[in-house]
Amino acid sequence: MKDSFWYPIVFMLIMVVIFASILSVMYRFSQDKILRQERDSYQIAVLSTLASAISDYTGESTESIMAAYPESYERFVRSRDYPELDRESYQAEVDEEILAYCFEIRGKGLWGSMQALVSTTVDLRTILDFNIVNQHETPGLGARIEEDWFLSQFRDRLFVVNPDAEEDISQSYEFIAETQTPENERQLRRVTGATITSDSVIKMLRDEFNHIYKYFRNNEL
Amino acid sequence: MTKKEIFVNAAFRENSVWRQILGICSALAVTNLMLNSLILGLGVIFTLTLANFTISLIRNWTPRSVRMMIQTLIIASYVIIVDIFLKANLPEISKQLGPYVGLIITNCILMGRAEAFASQNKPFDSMIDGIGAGLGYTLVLLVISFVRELFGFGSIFGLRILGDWWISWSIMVMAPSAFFLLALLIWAINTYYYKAKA
Amino acid sequence: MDISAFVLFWAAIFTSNILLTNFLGMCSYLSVSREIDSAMGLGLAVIFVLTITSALNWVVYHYLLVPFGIVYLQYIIFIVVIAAFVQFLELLIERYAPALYYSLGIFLPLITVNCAILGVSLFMVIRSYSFIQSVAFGAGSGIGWLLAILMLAGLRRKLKEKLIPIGLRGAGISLIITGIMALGFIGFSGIVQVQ
Repeated sequence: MKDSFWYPIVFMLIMVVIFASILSVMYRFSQDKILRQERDSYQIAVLSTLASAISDYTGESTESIMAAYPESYERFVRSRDYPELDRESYQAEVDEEILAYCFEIRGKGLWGSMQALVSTTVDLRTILDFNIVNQHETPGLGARIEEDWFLSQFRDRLFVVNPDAEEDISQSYEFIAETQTPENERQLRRVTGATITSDSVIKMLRDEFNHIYKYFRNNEL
Repeated sequence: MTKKEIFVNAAFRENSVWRQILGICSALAVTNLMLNSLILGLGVIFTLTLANFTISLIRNWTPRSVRMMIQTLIIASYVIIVDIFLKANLPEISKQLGPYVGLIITNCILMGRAEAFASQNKPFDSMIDGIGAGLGYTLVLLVISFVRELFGFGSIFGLRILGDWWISWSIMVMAPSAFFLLALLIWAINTYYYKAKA
Repeated sequence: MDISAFVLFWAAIFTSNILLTNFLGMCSYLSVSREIDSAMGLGLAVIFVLTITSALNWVVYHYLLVPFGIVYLQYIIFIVVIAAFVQFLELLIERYAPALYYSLGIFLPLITVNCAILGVSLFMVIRSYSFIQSVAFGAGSGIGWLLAILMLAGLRRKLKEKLIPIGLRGAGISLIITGIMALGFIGFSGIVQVQ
């Protein structure tokens, strides 16, 4: 029987059917959980980007705001929809007062696209907080842009100084080696061995900030 | 062979990585962090054990002509189960491991054990062989990642144990160090074997 | 997103060589690097298969897996596409170019289990490359792999067995050579500017 022409084909088919059904049943059961996880981790990233602004206003510590997820997300964060801006937008508000905005920004790194969340003051000039949510850089090198020492350099930085003159201050930021100590406000420490990725982060912030700023010069917030 | 002999044989005497230089593709890339190595190792143990068991269970009905296809199908199915599990329960780690979970399929250890052991032995013995080979493999991953994480980040399983005075060695995080460390490991073990034989 | 395919092609060869920085395709790399001729044959076969299968898998992923919502089966489908293509290629070469079959054909079965092939398809999905980018990345990775195996084969020929400690012979010394090559390739990391 094992040598007949049809036996291997039928056997193969049976195996495919058995395994495909096991897998699809498993997937159906996990699907909701996977989607929920993805949504949660994104919302947590948004909340954490806005946490310092909320904390400054309410006096609660950022840790307690983060620990209160998802309730704190519901309470402070509101999603906004700006047609034609084409970026996910959120705002933190307490008692109908807007504390900060948060935008999803995109750029390209060495290996693929990067996504980040950036929160800004209400005048859109200064970065409050900055988090990378998705990147495909080299693990251990470029991927270190997710580390806090690198991200925290961008906090409280002016990114657009005089939008009407089309001249932006970000052009004058310069990178120094990771081991050096910045001497003035213009200097940022670059990730060792990841020149291109570090430059891409600055470029992403610059381009996206210009895009967002220009959009809101012509549209209402 | 007794059950214990099968286990010891698979885990140490015929350890796939150092005796047969198999399956290091997916091994080296994740070894700069111990946690990632451990999770990938557990994934390999799970896949190897169940795939060995299943392949051995159906070995008497499997036609020779489609044997390889069936083995690949079974291995790939278990890898998908691991992948779904990681995505649902450990999304952060699943993101960090990236394509390397899927690459367990082409890990030569799985096909190697399926061919060399599972297709000729009883299901239960094959399972033990799978656990043994998987543990041996995980052990190698952990040894290499221990050195790389300790010197590269000053930490173990993400816990910083070397103080701020420690200046991390970037080279340990980068690819070349994995090649050197594996070479040293193989050297040490081979020397031990030659001494034991003589 | 919109990294030029040309940049990706060079980056895949030099700055992030599939073998020297991503460790993919190690098994056949170590076992077939004893002679330059066979290294060359296998390398060429890898370039060809890698380029075509990354194109095929891109089409399969975007026009079959995504529309039918079975992305979770991608590992099985990708490996089947690769295995089927290699099998088909083997038949075709054997039938129409017997001479080529004798020099190249023996390497084809080795390719199905070469991690680099499946790896490139998976990277392509994770980094969401476009069709052109995928083909360029596939071709670049293949050429990078050929470069690495040719260098190792060339260096191994020059080694004097007697001078190497007994425990280090074979795989051990090959890994050390590979490590030094990987160190050298880090030097290329500045040549590609993404702007």
